[in-house]
Amino acid sequence: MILVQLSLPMVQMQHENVSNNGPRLAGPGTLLAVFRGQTGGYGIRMLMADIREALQNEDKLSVELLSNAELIISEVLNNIEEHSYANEPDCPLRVAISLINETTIEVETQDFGEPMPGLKLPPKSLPNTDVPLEDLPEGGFGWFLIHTLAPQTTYTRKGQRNILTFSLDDC
Amino acid sequence: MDLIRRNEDDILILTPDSDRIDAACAIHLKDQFREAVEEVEGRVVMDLSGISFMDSSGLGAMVSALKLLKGRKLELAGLTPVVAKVFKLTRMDQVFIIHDDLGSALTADGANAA
Repeated sequence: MILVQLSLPMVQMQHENVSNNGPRLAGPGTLLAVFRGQTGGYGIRMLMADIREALQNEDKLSVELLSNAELIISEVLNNIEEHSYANEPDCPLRVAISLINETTIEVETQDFGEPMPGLKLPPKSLPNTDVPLEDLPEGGFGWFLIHTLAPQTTYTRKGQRNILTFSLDDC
Repeated sequence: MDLIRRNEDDILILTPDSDRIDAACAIHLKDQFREAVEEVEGRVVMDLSGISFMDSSGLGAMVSALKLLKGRKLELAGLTPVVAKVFKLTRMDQVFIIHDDLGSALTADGANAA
């Protein structure tokens, strides 16, 4: 079977239209909202402001869950911007958030960038901090934080889309 | 985002004028820090009490700031719970000198503090 990589803007638009046809829930629950944004500049920061506001309106979600959600969604989006889209601006970002129950949310992100290397999530590894000052790591913490706070994170590649799903609850 | 600078008892105090240290401002923060600590030889304390969100890019910017001090410790004060969690999970709380708040940073005994 031959896989053909298409990266034309029209293809991206068609995918966006498809996902506009209705919410696509990865699991049981109630779709809270779908948030759309773009890479580049303050794109992710603006998207996160919308997400934070929407989650704050859900009274039953704890402050702890809200802060974990903000951190993990930001880490995932930063990773998409930097790696999947290779820092290309104006690329589409989509975040769907569902309420699984009163204290659990499920988050699904979609992008149309490059697939994850090996079609799997990067491992949970913490850069070594017991090193001389000049060798201290300045990055590589993102996936460690994602795996630590959202251990059930899954990745699938569907057509031209990368889809990450994770849930967060009060525990 | 800018780093507001002031001196107190030969201690340089840097305060970000934003409530977030994230990927969008990480590089700018590093540049601002470099400019601020040029020719400064005393203690440097960053007041993070106004920071309500920091991601791993922001953490990376703090590490690069620490490296710019070439062997001197970067002291951080007033970490909010959300920010403290990022430092603790990544074990970066072992790398910086962390004070409960700016007041205790100023009364602390320099590099032997915390």
